[in-house]
Amino acid sequence: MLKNIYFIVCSCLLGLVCFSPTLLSAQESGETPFSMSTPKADAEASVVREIQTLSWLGGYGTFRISDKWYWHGELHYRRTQSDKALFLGEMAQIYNRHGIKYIPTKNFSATAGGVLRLDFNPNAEEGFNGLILEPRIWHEYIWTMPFNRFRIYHRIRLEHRWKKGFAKGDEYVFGNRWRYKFLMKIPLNKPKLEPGAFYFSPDVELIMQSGSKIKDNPLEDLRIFPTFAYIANPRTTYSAGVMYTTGQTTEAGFIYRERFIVRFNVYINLDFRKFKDKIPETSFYD
Amino acid sequence: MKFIQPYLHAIRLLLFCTCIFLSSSVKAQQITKNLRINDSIKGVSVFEYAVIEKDTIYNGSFKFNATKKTSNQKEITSYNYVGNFKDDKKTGEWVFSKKEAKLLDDLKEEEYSVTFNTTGQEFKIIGNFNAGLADGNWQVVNQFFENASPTDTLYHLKAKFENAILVNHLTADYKQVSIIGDFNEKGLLNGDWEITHHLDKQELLEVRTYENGIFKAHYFLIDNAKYPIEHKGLDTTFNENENWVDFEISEAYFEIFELSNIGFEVKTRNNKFQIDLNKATSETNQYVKNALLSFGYLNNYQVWSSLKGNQAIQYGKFKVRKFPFSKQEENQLKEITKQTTEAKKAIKRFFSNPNIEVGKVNYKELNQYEAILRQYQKALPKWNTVVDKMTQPAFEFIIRKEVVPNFDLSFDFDSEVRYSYQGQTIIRQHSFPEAPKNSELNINSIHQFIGQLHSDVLQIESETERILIDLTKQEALNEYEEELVNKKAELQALFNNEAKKDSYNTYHEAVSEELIAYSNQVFFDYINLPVDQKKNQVQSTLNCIEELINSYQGLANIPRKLERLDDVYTRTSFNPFVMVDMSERIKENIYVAFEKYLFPSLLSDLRNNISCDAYSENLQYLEKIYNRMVELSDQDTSIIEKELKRERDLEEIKRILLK
Repeated sequence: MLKNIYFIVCSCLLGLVCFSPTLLSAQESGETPFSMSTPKADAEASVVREIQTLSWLGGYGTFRISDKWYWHGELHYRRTQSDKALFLGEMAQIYNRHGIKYIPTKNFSATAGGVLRLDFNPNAEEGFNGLILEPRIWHEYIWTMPFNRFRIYHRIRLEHRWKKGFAKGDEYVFGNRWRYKFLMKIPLNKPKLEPGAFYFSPDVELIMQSGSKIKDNPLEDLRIFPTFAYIANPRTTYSAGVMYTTGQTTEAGFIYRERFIVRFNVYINLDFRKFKDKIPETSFYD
Repeated sequence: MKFIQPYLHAIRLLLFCTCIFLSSSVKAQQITKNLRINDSIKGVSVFEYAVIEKDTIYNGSFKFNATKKTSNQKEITSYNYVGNFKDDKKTGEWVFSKKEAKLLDDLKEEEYSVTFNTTGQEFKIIGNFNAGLADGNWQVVNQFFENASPTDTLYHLKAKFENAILVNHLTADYKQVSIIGDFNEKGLLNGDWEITHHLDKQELLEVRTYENGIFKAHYFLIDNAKYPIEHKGLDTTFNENENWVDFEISEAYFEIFELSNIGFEVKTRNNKFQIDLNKATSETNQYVKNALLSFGYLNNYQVWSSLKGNQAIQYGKFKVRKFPFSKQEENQLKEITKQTTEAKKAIKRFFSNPNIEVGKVNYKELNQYEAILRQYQKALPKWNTVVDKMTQPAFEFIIRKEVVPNFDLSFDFDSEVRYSYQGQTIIRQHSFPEAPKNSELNINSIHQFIGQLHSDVLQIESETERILIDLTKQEALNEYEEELVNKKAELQALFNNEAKKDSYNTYHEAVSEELIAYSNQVFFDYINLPVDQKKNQVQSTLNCIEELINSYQGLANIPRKLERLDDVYTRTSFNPFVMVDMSERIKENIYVAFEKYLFPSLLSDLRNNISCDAYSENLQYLEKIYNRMVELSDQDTSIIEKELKRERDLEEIKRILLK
């Protein structure tokens, strides 16, 4: 068991390192990965911006409203680094995602809804807005693959968004995001995912984008998010981890950004059905 | 009258014609008809009758013959009546005869009829009736005949009736006795009745004197010397104020006569007689009874009342004084009969019970009881005689204080009871009831004495039954012990899991050693008991081992029950975040209290308190707790859960859970 855990953690860390050109280059150049240096231009290829650090506190709620229908809601409180502090320096975003989830079987779900993201610009200068809204329509599809000791999840999320910059007078530009996420949930101290289980979740998501303004930067983000989580009870799960992301910026396709995001999430699952409807189906032959 | 004169001739003619018409209308007719009398004798009757107002009236001659062949066709029985009726009533001479005869081979044909001569016996009554009542001279003859001719007379009776009452003189000649006696005008025996006993070497004259039916004296006259027979308790002096009743000749009268007959008076006892006078007296009674009843009875066949018309005969009467019983005496006599019957049955049961012989080998008391009951058995004839005398109807017609002291209750019980047991002669004392002295004998004292006899006999029977039950138990003991050994082996095989059963679990394993040790202890405790106690203990020991065997299943069920509790105290719900069903414990305080504290404690009790009583009780308690847990799983238990929070005290947990 411990060997397995060790192997998984090592693999994830190795993967993280491999996907992080900044880290590699930083290590080669002898600089620390979190130094606030200017972007370095590769003469022949891409430019990687300076690494940003953020922190996201997330609350995820899935509330059962009928046998197969759920109300899904996410609220993120996101902060970003400032001149004074990494990770928690200043307000970045408040992110609201809501949708109706349909779970016809225990291995598939489909969700659709809307997102309203509030982007903050605490140090807005003249001619810029301190707050802009970004609405989206989204829908996602999740398949799960159960194995004896773990589960694999494939998530495809499609978002149709209207985005604009902070500059006053900017117009909303419609674009689409194409997201695919692969993750596993591997219980560490229990044979299966159950209350009391700590689990490790390797999580990789590729986010592509398209739209009239997207020319040479279709790769919006690649997120690598190894997480440790704890299932307190069937209704509550906590997770924490550091996510590494990288992707092309809007300025140019060859300019990449990198981020380390500390994330702490709480997952709440409640059943809003009437009591009689909560009684699980009984097989008299069990 | 003058005005009738011209019509006188015509009137005379009219009267004559009327008479002729009337006489022709009741003219007797003769008919031959099958007739069944007394429901069993079927024959042919030829009789004359008249029909008056649609009724058949016997009028004129009457003949009846029923002849029946026996199965071998060589013997016949015939009944014959010949006589006359007048207006349906017997009148004139009547002859009844019954013949039992063998057919002889001589045949005779006459007028197309073949007749046989016969040899046999005939009973014949020749009597006279007047208006349906016996009236006139009567004779009864019982005789043998050979080849159709009378040869020897068994008896010959002569008497006279007036208005159906025997009057005047009766003579009866039997081969053994001759009887001569008189009746008064009411048909009561009167005067000296002389009965001459024809013995081989001498004739003995017995005289019974009556005065208007009342017995006066009874003696034998030998060589002109009287030898009186004492009849104690028979009142011979009539008094108007006393309760005297007329007795038709019947068995009951002679019972009174015999009951009062205690034989010769002491002063007249001698050894002069060759016969038993008591027996002779008793025979006389039968001859007198037979002589009187023969005018109307042939054994039990009522000769005259079987035909049309009533019996209309009285057969002589006696007058006897009655001494009615008091209510208490009636009850005591009933009880005497009942107790005697019960005692007799008890004695009979004892001596006919084959188990007594078997039991005598091992139970010396049975030998003692046998010796005691032998004495009672020996006393039974005397005991019976006394009870028979006291319970017959005749007992109410004698002066009991004169008769009862003569009853013989001298049973001569020997209080030293001797018997053999396993080759040794043993003497034991037994206090038999002491018979009252003869002078103290009366219904009350005899009732008490018989009550004591009855009680002693039944007490012995009761003790005997106890011993026989003991004996049965002893026999059953062998079977029980065999079963016990088998059960113990079964128990040990179960808890050692010799059969490698799937149902064997850790709970069996946990108690196995102690349980087997305990069953061995129970078994050896039983084995070491004395035999007497074994009989009482074997069933309970067997039950105990069976109880322990039965506990196997109880223990086998524990895992299933724990799983059930785990199940009912678990709620499974779908977690849409991880997309798996997740189970969680509900009512955790209750479940934890049970799982962590109560159940281990119950198991510990089970293991540490293995005994026939406690083991079963502990299993039952476990079952009770389990049922309560199941019950609570489906109830609102918020208060109980609150109370159980952090509760560690076992008794408190039990109290909270079971309240």
